[in-house]
Amino acid sequence: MVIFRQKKIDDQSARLLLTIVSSGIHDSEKSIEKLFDWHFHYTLFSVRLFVGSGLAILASLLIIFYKGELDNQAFLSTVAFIGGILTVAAGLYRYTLLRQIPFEYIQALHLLKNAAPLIKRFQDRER
Amino acid sequence: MSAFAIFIILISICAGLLSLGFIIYQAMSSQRTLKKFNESYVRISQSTSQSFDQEELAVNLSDVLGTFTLVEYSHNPQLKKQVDALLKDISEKVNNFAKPATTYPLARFTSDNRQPKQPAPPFIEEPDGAETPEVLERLAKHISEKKHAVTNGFPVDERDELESHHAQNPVSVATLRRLHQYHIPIMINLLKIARKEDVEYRGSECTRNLLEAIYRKNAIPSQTYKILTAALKIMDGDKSYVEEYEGQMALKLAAGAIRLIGMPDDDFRPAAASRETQYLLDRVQASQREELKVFIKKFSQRRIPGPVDAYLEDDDGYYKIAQKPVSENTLHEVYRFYPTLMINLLRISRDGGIEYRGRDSIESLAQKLSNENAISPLTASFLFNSVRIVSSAEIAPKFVEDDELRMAKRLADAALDGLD
Repeated sequence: MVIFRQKKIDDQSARLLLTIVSSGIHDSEKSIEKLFDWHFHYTLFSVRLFVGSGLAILASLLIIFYKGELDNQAFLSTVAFIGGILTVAAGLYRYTLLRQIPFEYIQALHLLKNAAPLIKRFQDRER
Repeated sequence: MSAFAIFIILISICAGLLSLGFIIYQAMSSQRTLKKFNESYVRISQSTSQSFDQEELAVNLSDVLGTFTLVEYSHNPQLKKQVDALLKDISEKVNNFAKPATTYPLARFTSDNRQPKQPAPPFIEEPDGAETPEVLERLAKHISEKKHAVTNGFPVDERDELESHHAQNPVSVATLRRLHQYHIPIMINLLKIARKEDVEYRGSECTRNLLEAIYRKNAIPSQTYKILTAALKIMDGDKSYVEEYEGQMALKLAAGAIRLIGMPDDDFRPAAASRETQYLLDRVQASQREELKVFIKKFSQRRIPGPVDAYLEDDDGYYKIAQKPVSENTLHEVYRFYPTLMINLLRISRDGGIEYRGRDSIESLAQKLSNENAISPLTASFLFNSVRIVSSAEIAPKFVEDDELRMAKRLADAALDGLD
């Protein structure tokens, strides 16, 4: 359907549902399941990246600290530690979002159920 | 401090800032989404309240759904509530705008690979303000005095073209479409009058001719006749010669004429049998249907002259002269079935959204309905054969047996059963 393909689709935008239905994909629910599968792996990767980077930074800072290279740099070392902790925190925050994916999936199906008949009606008229 | 220490500190500060920005961005996203959503929501609400342009609505809907992610939809109850309400609202509007396509009510079989046609609106929109018969008469007078090129499906006559003038503001397609919706109720009402007043309808008269026949029998008042004639003049007219305001006037005239005729929605045929007797009736009808099918097969092998041979009467014994040729009385008996047959066909056309513009005969309308799966092939076959026998009896009465014409009556009756 031309109307629904005019704009660029953002990551996980609800407009994605329109594209799925309007493209005439036979099993929309299966497609959404696949999309959420990709979304899960993408989020898991970002969680690993954030937590891994944060832990690596913290470990490096500890090594430097025990080497005594931060003795006269109280402010800098505090800021660096906070940076490391924040990186890990961002990863953990992503992880909490990851745990909500089943709920998001159910809501997406709910939205699909509401919007699909409408989209199909538009498509039928456009033909 | 070593270079490695500086590098790690810089990296940790950058990563920290990045993570902080990410957390703040995520935390603020619900507010931002709601704002974007509300802007689109207002736009879509305005567009649907002002006009119902489906393309604009679809684009706006796409915009609205593009303002939030599925994650935001599931985690923001306020957003979820608003989106659900919006979708419900739009789907109600779309449903009200055009009812979903329904299967034809009297179809005897359904075809899964056929998309049902968009049905016509179940009722005809009444023009604003019902006009009094006097006002309608004045409108009718105005139209009947004006010269219009009436096509009746044929090219405009050269003389008509010279005398008529092209419309300055030609009638719009929307008005014409609304106007053509009146063909079916007008014809149904005229057929009801014909049936009641014993005006003969032979299955091929157009609306105008039937109206003339009815008027000649004084079955309708002259005021109604004038109004209807004026409406039909515009309805059958060449659209390039009809002004938009005349189209609007014709709408009023058509609606007014139907109101003035006001024929009750009765049916002379008996009510459907009770469930207990229906089984027995079905058995009887099934055996009759078989008998009729055998007759149709036999009749299809009969040699009956066409119009030219019948006119020349030069058959050299090729055609078999009937032992007991058709009588006028039997022919009139068959004709008595035709108004009801046509009314039923018109009702099916109306319910199925199949076009009728006042010119189709029973045969051509049945052909259209059969092509659209609105009537069963068996019913169509009964109808076609009945019409065929009758037309043969009209063209070459000498060569058609009276018994065969009686079978045409039974075929018409069986076709009516199929349409009921």
